[in-house]
Amino acid sequence: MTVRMIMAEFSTADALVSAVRELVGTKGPHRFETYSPYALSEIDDVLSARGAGPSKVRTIMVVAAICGALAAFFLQYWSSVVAYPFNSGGRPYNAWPAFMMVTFEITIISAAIGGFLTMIIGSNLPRLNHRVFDWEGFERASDDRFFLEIELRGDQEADGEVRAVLDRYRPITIQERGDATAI
Amino acid sequence: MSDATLTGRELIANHGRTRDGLMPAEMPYGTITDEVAAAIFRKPSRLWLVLVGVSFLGVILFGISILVLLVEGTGIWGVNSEVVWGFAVANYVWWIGIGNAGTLISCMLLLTRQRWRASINRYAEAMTLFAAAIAGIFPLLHVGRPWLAYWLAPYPNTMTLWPQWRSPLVWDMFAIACYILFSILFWYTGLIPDLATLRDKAKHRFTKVAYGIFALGWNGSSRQWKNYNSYYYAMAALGVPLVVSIHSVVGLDYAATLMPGWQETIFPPYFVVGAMFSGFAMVVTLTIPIRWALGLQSIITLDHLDAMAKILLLGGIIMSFSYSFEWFAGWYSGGEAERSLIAFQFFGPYGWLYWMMLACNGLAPQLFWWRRFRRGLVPLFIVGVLVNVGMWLERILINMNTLAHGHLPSTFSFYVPTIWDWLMFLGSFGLFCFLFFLFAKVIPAASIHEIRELAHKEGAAR
Amino acid sequence: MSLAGRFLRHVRAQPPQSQRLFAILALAAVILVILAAEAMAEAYLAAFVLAISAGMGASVLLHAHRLTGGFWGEAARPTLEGLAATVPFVSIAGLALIVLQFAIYPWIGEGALSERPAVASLYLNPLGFGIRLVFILALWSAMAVSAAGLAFVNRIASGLFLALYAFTVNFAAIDWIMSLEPHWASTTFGALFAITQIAIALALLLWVDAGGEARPRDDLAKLTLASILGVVYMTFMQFLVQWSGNLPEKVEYYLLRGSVLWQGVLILSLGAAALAFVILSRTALRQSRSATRFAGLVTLVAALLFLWWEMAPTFDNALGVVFSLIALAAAAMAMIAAAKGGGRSRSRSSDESRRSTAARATGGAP
Repeated sequence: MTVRMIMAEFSTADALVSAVRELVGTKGPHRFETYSPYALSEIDDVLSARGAGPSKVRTIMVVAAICGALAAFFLQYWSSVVAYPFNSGGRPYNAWPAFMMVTFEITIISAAIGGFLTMIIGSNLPRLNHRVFDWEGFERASDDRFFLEIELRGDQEADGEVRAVLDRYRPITIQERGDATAI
Repeated sequence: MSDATLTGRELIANHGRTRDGLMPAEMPYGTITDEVAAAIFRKPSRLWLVLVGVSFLGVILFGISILVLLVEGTGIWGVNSEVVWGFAVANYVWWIGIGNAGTLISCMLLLTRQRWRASINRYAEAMTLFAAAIAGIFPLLHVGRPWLAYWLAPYPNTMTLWPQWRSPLVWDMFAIACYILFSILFWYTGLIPDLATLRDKAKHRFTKVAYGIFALGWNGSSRQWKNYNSYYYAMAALGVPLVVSIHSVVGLDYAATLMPGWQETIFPPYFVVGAMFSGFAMVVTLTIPIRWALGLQSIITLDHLDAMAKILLLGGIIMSFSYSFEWFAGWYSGGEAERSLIAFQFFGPYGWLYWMMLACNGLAPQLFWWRRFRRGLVPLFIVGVLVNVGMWLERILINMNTLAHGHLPSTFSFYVPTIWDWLMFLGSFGLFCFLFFLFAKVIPAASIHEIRELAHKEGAAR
Repeated sequence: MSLAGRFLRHVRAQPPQSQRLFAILALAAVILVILAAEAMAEAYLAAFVLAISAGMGASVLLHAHRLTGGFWGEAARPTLEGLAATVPFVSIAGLALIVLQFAIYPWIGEGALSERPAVASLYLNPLGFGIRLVFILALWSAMAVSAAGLAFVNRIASGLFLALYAFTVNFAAIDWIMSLEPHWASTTFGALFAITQIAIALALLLWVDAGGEARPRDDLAKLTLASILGVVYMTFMQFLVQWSGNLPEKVEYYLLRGSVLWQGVLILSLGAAALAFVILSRTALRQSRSATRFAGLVTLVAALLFLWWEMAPTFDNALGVVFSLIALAAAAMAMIAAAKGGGRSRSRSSDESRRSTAARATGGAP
């Protein structure tokens, strides 16, 4: 099944943000995605007001950190108390103060690796190509243009409203096409 | 005529600067991209080629001295049975200090929302990465048989041995490994959106594909930015305690021993401050040639340099106090060995180096009480170099003084570095510069997407 | 406004029942001084250390803010100034230590420091202690007066004061706390004392909700988080180095604190710090007024127990141990009152400050 997509290109962040704000208020909320050359916190605000949950990255980082800490401490404890106990200057086998530094480093690096993987996978990366790159002029999304991609619903009235909203914010270009996959 | 075709310097001439002086008052996004990316897509200048060539000679030197070391053994160095830690350990501490500072600077400035961060964080992080990698080489060479260095790692083996977890040297191995990995992740994450910019800007098929692979398919969607920000800020928050712990472990390499002048509880935090200080000095030293060579005067401004000079001044004051408190503490805690060591620092055979170190680290930054020096490129560069020299002297003096003047007078000895000590140190410089010049040509020297965000907030772009 | 006027306003700002309570406590104190002089002297020292810490922590924050700026400082300024304004008064009270030192410190008396005669004759002696006390308190009072915006208000002065503070805090820490165990030494002790002071001031700011709005509250919460980490880090490093060294005169410190009571106190303090850390590290909770207030209180309790753990094990009479805890708690409450008084003056002067902020915003170059 193909989906009709519309892509508007704006020259300022403010226009994009205003268009998105108004779009959210229209009848039959459309699915959309924005593409910008830097992070726009306003878009996040709009999306979370619409019910989008926070990023999973930090939750995974906390979990990874706890696992890393336990594993690192256990390794040190087990190898110096059970596997290979030996007396060094009369210090206890379970020399927990000495184990803390390695435990700490492993905790942090576990969180860092866990978070990185979550960020990459959660963003649907890495991939060699994506249908969004087929839009004319999209290479400027990483330079100085702000893009708004909307999935049309095939409903004359609602789609007309979308086009009207876009027109009001004077996009530089508007393109439309059929796509095999949805947003 | 449209502003988009003007360069940053022309924009400053036309519109002046923003209120806090960080960028031109009018600076469209396209110009920001062009300003930073231009240095990459331009044909390499002859100057750059010469610099890369000269630093490559240093790399060769480094390679040769490592080769000779591996063939002949650590006997080629000046270390002896008492002064067992010589240049290799001092170089390690110095390089890792510089390596720690880049991440610390980048994280702290991000967390405290310093607007001038965007222009310097990228190459500060690159500096970190290269310095940390070089720092990691020295302990490997120092152990004498680097091919057995993997014995430090915990793994099930036929000897059924496990590492000595109570030794700071084992902590150190973990600390460096984790730190290098962490800095790569932090640096690379910040780079992904800029790599996408370069992918989209590249003209040639090959460069496009190369940047495209490393950009991982980034398209700047709101979902990607959300994950990116969530991760990047969390990394910055983790980076500060990580760096503090890494350099504390370096301090503990000394403090967990029983040598006079080393067994100090202040060493872990004091090493962190020293790292921050030498790292900032290195950033200043690198900034001045970078902004000149890459033409980034509109993005790295005098106000950036001014702010960094103030931090150097603060560091100089803290270091001076630390030194004087060190003398007091040695006297107060009252061990004969400690007091004798302090006299040895001032008046022993290495005394002249100690005085030089005090002048470089304590006195030189005091120039920055004056605005004129904070905004002068030549004084800034000179003081930056002096502080680097001073901090290196501090690292080598910590080794030489204590080990040459320990608890037992019959073991007092004297350490003189050999030609190989010096060549290896010089060579490590060559490697650092070589990597840094390559970096400046291949990767944006400033964070483009953060400067766009800054331009939006400052009202220079809409 | 003059300093005295400011102080009177703070006193008048207290509700009458707390003024009455104060009078009763003062009377009880007089009786106890007669009956248990040594214990009272030790309690006095503990209260003084906590009170001056809160004021000096606030002064450091104010000076640092003057140098670097930031939302948190604008919002918290009235509270911080209220705390800083207490320093001159606490300093005057602190002068009593010139006399009280004879009841507190073990290094006083012939032969107490026989292994370090030079230190005894040049540093750790009653005259030296008194001179340094007067000098440090005078300097800190000047710094606090400057921080509160009453005199020497400029950035150069702030820089100089911070530098001088970084130097003098080492000697304050050695004289007042570390020399309770004159044979023990730790070079990180001064830095630890400084960061403890800052943590105490920040905990007070959170407890009285000096931020007021979400964004400054978030900033203050993060600063508190950092200061908690700083105290825990320094304490652990001190322990790790001396534990590794295992030298008799160094580990003596930890052996003295090895009893169930003192281990329990430290664990309690660390637990409180950990709880505050967990609360403050959650972004959502940092925005909430009640959560940050609770975290502030918990941090304050952690700092109080930590100071007690540092000082009280050296007191050789049980009464001194108990009294010092009560004194710490009383000083903490007095400081909360000072912080609240400062915060209350904000609501009065908020119009004024809003006007001046507006003037600054429109006034162009700073």
